[in-house]
Parts: sequence; C-alpha cells; structure tokens
Amino acid sequence: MGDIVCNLLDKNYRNKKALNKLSCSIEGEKIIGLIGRNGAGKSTWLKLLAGHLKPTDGEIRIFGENPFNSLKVASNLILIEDTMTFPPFLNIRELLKMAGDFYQNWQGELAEGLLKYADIPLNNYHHKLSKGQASTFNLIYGLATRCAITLLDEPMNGMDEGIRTDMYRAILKEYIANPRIIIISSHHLAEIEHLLEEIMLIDHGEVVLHLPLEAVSQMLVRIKGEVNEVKEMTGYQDVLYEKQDVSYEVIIERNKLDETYDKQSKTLIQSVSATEVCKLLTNKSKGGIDDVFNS
Amino acid sequence: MNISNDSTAPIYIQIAEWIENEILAERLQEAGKVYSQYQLAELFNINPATAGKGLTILLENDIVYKKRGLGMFVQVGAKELILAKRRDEKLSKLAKEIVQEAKRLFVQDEELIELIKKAQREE
Amino acid sequence: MSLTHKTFPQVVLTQVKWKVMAYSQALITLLILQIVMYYFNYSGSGMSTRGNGLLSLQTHFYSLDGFVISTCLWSFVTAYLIQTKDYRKTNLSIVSNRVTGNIANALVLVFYSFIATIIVHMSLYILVAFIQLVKGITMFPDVSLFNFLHFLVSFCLILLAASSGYFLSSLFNLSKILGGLFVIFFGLFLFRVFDEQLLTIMRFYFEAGYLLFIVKALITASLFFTLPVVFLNRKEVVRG
Repeated sequence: MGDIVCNLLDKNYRNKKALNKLSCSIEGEKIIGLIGRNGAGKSTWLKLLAGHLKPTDGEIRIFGENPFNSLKVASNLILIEDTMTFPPFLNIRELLKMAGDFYQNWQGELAEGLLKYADIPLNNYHHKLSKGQASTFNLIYGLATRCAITLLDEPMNGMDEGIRTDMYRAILKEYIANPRIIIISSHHLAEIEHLLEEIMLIDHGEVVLHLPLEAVSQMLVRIKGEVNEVKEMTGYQDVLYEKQDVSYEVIIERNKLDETYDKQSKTLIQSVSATEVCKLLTNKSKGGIDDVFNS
Repeated sequence: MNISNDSTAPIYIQIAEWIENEILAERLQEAGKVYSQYQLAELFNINPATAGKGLTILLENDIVYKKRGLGMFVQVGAKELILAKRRDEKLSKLAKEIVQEAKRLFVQDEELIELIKKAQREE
Repeated sequence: MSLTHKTFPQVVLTQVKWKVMAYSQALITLLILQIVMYYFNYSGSGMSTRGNGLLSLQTHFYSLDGFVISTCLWSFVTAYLIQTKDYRKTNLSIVSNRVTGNIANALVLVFYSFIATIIVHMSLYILVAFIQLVKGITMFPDVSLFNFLHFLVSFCLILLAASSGYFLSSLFNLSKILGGLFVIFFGLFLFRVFDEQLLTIMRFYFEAGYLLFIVKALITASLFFTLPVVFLNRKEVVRG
C-alpha cells in the first residue's frame, strides 16, 4: 500500500486522451520530479490527484481514499499551480490568517518571513500581484501548509532568475525541516535535478519511467567512434539516438552494451545526463531535430 | 575502453570524495563525527537521499562507521585507507594507459618492463 | 508523515467564518443601495390628499416595500455571484470539498439575508426619524413600530431571492444550456406569457396568510439551497 496509488488511470477531454492507462505507486517522504513535454499529461495527473478532476476510468487512492470529495485528502494535500485564486477581498495578511485556520500544520512565521524576503507586501491583494510575485506567493503558501502531499505544478513560472534559486532552496530547506511527499512538475529537469530523489517521466499520458535519479543518469551510454567498431560493440541493435558526422555516435541502454568487447579500441563511452535521458525517451525520431533538416 | 564521465561523476560520488578530502586534510578527525545527510544536503543544496548515498559508499568502504542513534563517525585508520585506495586507483589507471599506448606503438612486453625499470633507476 | 484530521462540521464552520469575511463587501453594497432608496422613499411610497376648502390633509405612506424589494434584488445578485465558478474555484486553495463548499455558501447567504433584514428595518426607522425631524411631519405607525411577523416575512422574501440566485448560478455551473433555458423560461413570465400560472404561484404563497407564507417560503428556500449541493457533487472544479 502506497500513499499515492494510481491504477490504469484514463482521462479524456472530449475526444482528446490526456492520460492513458497510467499506473504508479508512491510511498514515503521524497521529492519527485515530474518530467514531460508540454501536453504530456502532467497537469491533468496532478489535478486528478488533488481531486479537482475525476478519472474517466481507473482508480486513484491517496491515503487509501478516493481524492474526489475527500476531506482527508483535502486537509493533507495541496496543489499549487499558476491559475490558483483566492477570495478577492482578502489581502495577503488575511489570506495567511485564513490558511492558519484551515491547515493544522500552518507555518505563519515562515510564510511571512519568506514573503518579506521576496518583497511581497502583506497588505497587497493576490490578484494585484505580478505574475512572478503571484507564483512566489503560491509556492510559499504551498510550503507553509506543510501538507503531507505537496504538488507543485511548474511552480517557478514567471519568476525571475534570482528568486528561482532562492525558492528552490526554500523547498529543500522546508523538506529537510519537515519531510513530506513533494512532486514538482517541470519541463526543465536540469534546473530541479539537484533537489530530486526520484524522477517520473510522463509521455502521451503514460509513465515512461519512474526511478531514483541516480538510476536514470546511469541508464544510457553514449558511444562515439568509428562506424563499424561502434556497430559491432552495440551488436547492431536498435539505438535510441544516432548521429553521423566526423565520427559516428549512438546512445543505447547501458545494460545492452557488450562489456566484453575489445578494451583497446579508441571508441569513447560516455554517460548520459538525466536531462538527456528524459529528452531521448520522449523523442519522436532517432536523430532529434537534425533529422528534420537532413531529410 | 575508456569510461569518461566528462567530470560529471554522480553527485553522491562527489559527496563521498569531498568527505574523503576533508578526512585527508584532517578537518574531519579520526573517530570524530561526520556530517549528517541533512547537513550535507543543506551544505551542497542537494536532496538528502543523494547525500545519504554518498555516506553509504563510505560506510561500505569502512571509512566511516555508524553509532546507533548518534550518527556516523570516521573510522580510525581511515586516512591511511583513503591514501592507499587513491594510490591504488591512480597507479592502476596510469598503468592501464601505459599498456594501451605501448600496444599502439608496437612496444613488446619485455621492452616496456625495461622502460619502467629504467624510469625507476633514474628517480 | 503524520496526517491531520478535520471533521466535516469543523471545515464547514471555518469556511463560513472566512466566506462571511471575504464577501463582506456585499454588505457595503447593500448599505449604498439603501441610501439610494432613501432618496426614492423620501416623499413616501404613496400619497393621498383630502380637503374641504378650509382644511387640506395630505397623507404620505412610508413602508418597507421599497427597501425589501431592492434588498431582494441585492440578495439575488449576491447569491448568484458567490456561487459562480470563479468564486467556487477559490475553494481549491483551502480545505474543502464540493459539499462543504456549497453548504458553507448557503449558510453565508442565510446569514447575510438575516443581516440584510435587520438593515432594511433599521433603514425604515432612520427614514421615519429623519423625515419627522426635517419635514416636521407627524408619523403614525399603522402597526406597532417593530412587528416580528413583518420582520420574518421580509427575511423570508430576501432569503427566497437569495436561494433562487444561488440555484440559478448553480444551474449555470452544472450546464450553461440548462441555466439558459431557465432564464428563457423566467423571461416568459416577465413577458406575461404565463400570467395565469404566475397568478397560481402567487396565490400558493400569499393566499393563506403570513404564517403559511413563511413556512412555504422556508421550504422553497431550503430546496433551492440543497438541490445544488446534490447535483454539483459530481461536478469537476478546475482552476483553469
């Protein structure tokens, strides 16, 4: 039994399939990076977890309950997204007080401190904040609720470079102070990689992989060298990526590499970063954008 | 076959190496306490689990040991262990490179051994 | 990871508390509306003149009607606004589910209707006092100055208006087509297509005296308040 369990989730919007038999299980406190291209189904999945949407088919269990209309889930899970709204006639200070009434673990001082640091005045109104400020407020709000499950959908949208780094650090420090399940969605893995324990890669509404970060960065290898030698080394199998210019270059799974091959060859073997792994696994063609220009 | 990481060794290995360096520099004393995974996470701005993996490597190599409820401590003799290991790794890596280069240049085994002996005499 | 626990009544009460504060702007609108109504009511809602050459007697009638009708309009609009999608979305940022959110909104409207009724009655007294002072007209109340039955009846009227605004808004939440049909249907009443039916409805509510009206109005209002809780319970609410 996990804290979050999804079983063959389907979600259709009219004729469009947003999620396609998505299954996964998450247990215990950790920070998970939810990675995928635009339209892969990240936001839809998070909205289903938060109980904003109900699945077309399949089942979700959070703390053993269906999140749609569950007060137990509502008290212990929060979804932060940039379309978040608050009652318009309450100012920021009042919103913080309100949150304290609703969320038992609310960290009022922390929220005020972070807002002050981010130069967001407490007597302003949420709908009057700039896009970056609103994102900052939303993220701070989400962290201060200390919900056992905190879902952050593209939390840094619209924030400028400086505050982003600070806010990533705030996430980490809050996580250390009070471990919980934090899922951060992003199409920019490199920026959040250092925070993550696990990566969940979604494409076309399906989970492509869900592994510890280290396993992802060890998964693939790049082999660079003379064509015939490289092909022999890879056993002429299917590759995830190939490129031919001065030298020949392919990327394959590490465990498919023939380790017994001649160790004296000049062929170069490199590891492939987690960011690149995610990009490759969701690529449509083997040569990436170069294929479009070469054909 | 050369495994080159483009200096992007996994973060947990870099953490393990950093602690080893701290021990070599005697900023961490033998039998003294090692940083916890949470301290390391804050220090390097990384996930605590990643920091934990770095500590696990040191634990497996007997460089640190665990005291129940108190955390991790530097093993007595850890500094020597690290030095020995690094020597070992560095030398065998160099040896491998020499052998490879010798092969490319069609240098016979005996010739190579002779070369090494000569280098030793000249030291 | 320890989970927090809040009971259903706790969540509803906390929501009511904050919604009352969050939408208190509506009460200010009501006060402004009352001041506008002073202006219209200043000369009374009715007047008759009698005289015999030597003596002329003018009678002005001052009544609650204008205040109550304008307040009904206010409560209808307020209820409609509170139950629109945009306002319901703000529930996603607090501990809530669809049932607690809808019940809390209904309770807030009941509370506002009650406050509005008090404001309406006070308005009349203030108007009466004002006219006596300024115009020097002597006032004779036709019933005792505070009539509890009148208070209840005006409360029921305002509540009825609020509940129908809430219902209509919820209907639009459920489906725009359904809400649209309802508005068209309502429009036909205004264009006097269903005069006879309207008359029947009026009779149903008002024919049998105040007390029965109060009972019937309360039942209707509770229906209008509870039906949306049921039919919006399976409806998805998404921020954007």
